[in-house]
Parts: sequence; structure tokens; C-alpha cells
Amino acid sequence: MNFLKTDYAEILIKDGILFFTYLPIPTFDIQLAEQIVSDRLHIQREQAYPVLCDIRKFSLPDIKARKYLAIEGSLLTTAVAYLVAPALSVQLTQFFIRVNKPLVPTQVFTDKSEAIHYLKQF
Amino acid sequence: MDPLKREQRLEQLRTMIHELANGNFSHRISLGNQSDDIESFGLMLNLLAEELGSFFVHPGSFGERDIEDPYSLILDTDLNITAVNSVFLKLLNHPKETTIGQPIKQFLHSSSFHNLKKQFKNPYKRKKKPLVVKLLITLTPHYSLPIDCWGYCHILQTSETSLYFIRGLPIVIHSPQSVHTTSTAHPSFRSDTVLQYQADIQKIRAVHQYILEHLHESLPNTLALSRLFHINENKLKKGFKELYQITIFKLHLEKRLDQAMVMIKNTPTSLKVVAHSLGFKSFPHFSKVFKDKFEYPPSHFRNR
Repeated sequence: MNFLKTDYAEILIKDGILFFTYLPIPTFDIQLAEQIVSDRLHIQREQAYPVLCDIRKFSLPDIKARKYLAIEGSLLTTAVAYLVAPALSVQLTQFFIRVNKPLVPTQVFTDKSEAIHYLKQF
Repeated sequence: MDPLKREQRLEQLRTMIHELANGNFSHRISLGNQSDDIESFGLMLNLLAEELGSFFVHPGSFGERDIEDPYSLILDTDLNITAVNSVFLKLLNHPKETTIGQPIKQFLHSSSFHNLKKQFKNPYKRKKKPLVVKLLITLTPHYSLPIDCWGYCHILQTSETSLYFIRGLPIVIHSPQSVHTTSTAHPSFRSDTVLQYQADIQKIRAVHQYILEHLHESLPNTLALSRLFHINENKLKKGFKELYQITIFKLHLEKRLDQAMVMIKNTPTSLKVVAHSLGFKSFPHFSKVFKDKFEYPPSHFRNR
């Protein structure tokens, strides 16, 4: 199994990269964050991957969810590239990286091919 | 305005927001003499930094991962309780059904109630109503010792009436075994603390982050850590405990066990490999500390 679709995301493993595309989410809280990490780990089995996280449609996680994603969300990931829409979500993601401090190398991109190029190093 | 200059000024605002979110309330934006929106946001952020510096029980713990949730409640103009959160009910040791609608007087020490009434009465005598009032109250829970709490009351206006939204933290020593115990020493206050300087707090926060980034291996001893972060060993040990209410090595252990739980529940990785990958040197030791924390051995959570 290398593809999973849930109510909140589509997860695809292809060419050594895990593509995680968020769908619109009304409330992004700690329970959802736990579910997201759980689903991702299940599809990965025991393999760590660089992750391209497309957050162009998602809503801002609350503070507990952000903190959970920064630590437990880093499990079995080698690096994360956030694909964002320009303007505000760039700032919000920078805030997440600088304040909640994810445990693996993380960068923000507005261009998908640049994000994939970045992840190929890991 | 020169676009480059404008971008530099905007970057100052962003930096300030990141500093505040990291708990550094001593950072300030240098203001010029422009009268534009950027300048006014800079000024507001400087004011916010001052306000936040005195708001939190310990400013160094702001935004951290393990800080306690605040209690909160809403009072109507007759000082009856109209809404509470679960933390407040826990502090009162009282069920929601017999708390909502009751006068707050019933749950406060008499002197606290009189002070509260005075605080709320005075603002309405003034022409300019304040938005926020600082409080120090003593709760009188059911079958338990009184609990001193600090907090802020936000005065909210609806089209017909006013509401008082109160939010804060108990002045306590946190103990994992008990819900809350009152403190006579108020250890978190600055006069009693080893953490007198923002620079020390920032170093200890850096140690906290270092721990999180080294969950897959053993930590160096505290002397080596103190040298690595250029801080006195004693100050590091005491300051860390003061800031996070947990020792360095206990936090390292707790976080590794949390990660182990996620791995055990969600991956087929063998229990021994999970233990080894999180820096536990022997499986029996891992199994014992895991059971101490989660009540059941690791195998209990596999494929559940």
C-alpha cells in the first residue's frame, strides 16, 4: 500500500518521497494531529521518508496540535518541505518552524518542483 | 518610502513576534519618528512585550510544551458564574452542575471576594473603562486547602450587558501525583528564583530544545551540558527544574517514552528495536520505565 485517502488528507509514497496533501479541515486540534501521525506511520511501515507536505488548503492547527506535530510529527521523517500558498501561510509556516521547532530539517516552498529538489538530498 | 527600508522595518516586526513567541520579553523594536502603520504595530508589540513580561507566572515558561492549562471562567454583572472550563472545576473540586449559576462569592475567600467587587466596581465610576484588570484571588475548594491564584479579568461588552472573563493560573508547585498543592513559598516568583536574567532563561530553553533533538541517544551529564551551553551547572539544574517543573533527565526519559508509545502503536517495529532506537541500553530497563509511566508493559499496546 503506497496510497491512503482519509477525511483530512491524501498520502502517497512515490519515488522515495512521501507526499502528504492536506484537504480542508474545519478544526485542527490535538486529536486530529495524533490521527494524522498515526495514519502516516501506518502507511510508511518502518521506513523513514522525506515528506512533501502540501498545506495550501489546510487550516491552522491549534497550539497543542502544532507542538505535537513538531515532535511526534517528526518521527520517521528525514526532512520536511512545506508547500504553501504565497503571502500569509508563508509567514504562518515560518512561525511554526522558528517557534515550534520541528526536529528534522524543514523548509517552506511555494513551488512544488523546488520542494522536491530540496527533499532529494535526504 | 524606500522599498528596502520598508522591508527592513517589516522584518523587525516579524523578528519581534518570533522573539515573543520564544518567551523573550526583553526584546524591543527600535522605533523611529515615522507616523505610519508599521510604526504603530512596532509600538504595540513593544507594549505587548512589557505586558507579557509581567503576565506570566514565569515568563521563561511561556509557550513551552509542558506549561499547565489556565483556568478560565465567565461572570455576569451580578458576579454569578455563567461558564467555566474543566481546569477551574478541578481547582474547585466541584461538579459543573452545582457551579454554573452560583455566585462566585461561594467559592472565594471573603477578602478575595471583597477585593474582586472593588476591582469591578471602580472601573465603572471612571469615564474611561479599562479593558483588563489584574487579580489575585484565593479559591476555597470543597474539602481542600485554599488555593491562591493570579489572573486577569477581561471586561467584555455585549449589546445589553457586560461579562467578566477571568483567566489565569494557580500559584502552585506542580506535582504529577496530586492535582494541585498549595505553595507557601511561591517558588516561581522572581524574588525566589535562580533565574534572574533573560539570558539564563534563554540558555535553559536552548537546553530544552537540545533534549528534544537528542531523543535517540543518551544525554551528556549535566556538567557537560552546562559547559556546552555556557551556564553554571547548579544554575542549569535548579533553573531547569524551576522552569519546567521536571529534571533534565526525567524530561528526556518522558519524551522518549512518549515517542516509543507512538512507535509501538503505529508501526510493526519490534519492541526491542523501538527501545534501542530511542537510546535505551537494555530492553528490561525500557520495559520497566515504560510500565511505570503507562501502567502496562509495551507489549500491551502493540496492535491495539
